[in-house]
Amino acid sequence: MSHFTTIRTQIRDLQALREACAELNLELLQNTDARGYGSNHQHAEFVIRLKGPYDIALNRQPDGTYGLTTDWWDGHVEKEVGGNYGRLLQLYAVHKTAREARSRGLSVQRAQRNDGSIKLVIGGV
Amino acid sequence: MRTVEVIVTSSGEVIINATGFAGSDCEKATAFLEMALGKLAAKERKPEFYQRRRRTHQQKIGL
Repeated sequence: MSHFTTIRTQIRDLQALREACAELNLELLQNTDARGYGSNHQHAEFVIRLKGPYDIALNRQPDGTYGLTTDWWDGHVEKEVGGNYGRLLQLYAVHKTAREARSRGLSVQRAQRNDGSIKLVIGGV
Repeated sequence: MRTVEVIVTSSGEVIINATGFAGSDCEKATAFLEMALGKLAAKERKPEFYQRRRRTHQQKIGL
């Protein structure tokens, strides 16, 4: 045991995002409109099309990360991706970690934990 | 055995736990993940981090 680091996940890798969306059974679309309340539509670089009435818009920010915006009204989005995009960020981080490890020839084992967290053990380090 | 454990919470926070390393090797092993995943929120070094790597000593005793 040597050190613990805590990271706040930021979306940078579109392929990892694509994989996370696929696992959630959601479409990731490019250069289209995200649906919001009433007739509010926001054009965005990427849109995660949800099953409910509202979508998630993603736009690249100056620091290279993708900012997420959505309409949280009435819990529609929270139901699909978790409060504050939790489930989406979780799966993005899982897929991003796996991609980074595998691209370095390391092994990855994934396990679901009872508290809802996902554990990845990286071997060959 | 050296391993890197990554726990991703249901809110998308990532906790990286490097185990079985001595000295600062653990930082080299996890740096690629820390940089790739996002923004550093906290870092805690465990006692082993400060452990020096084994060195071989040679002693000569004259008669």
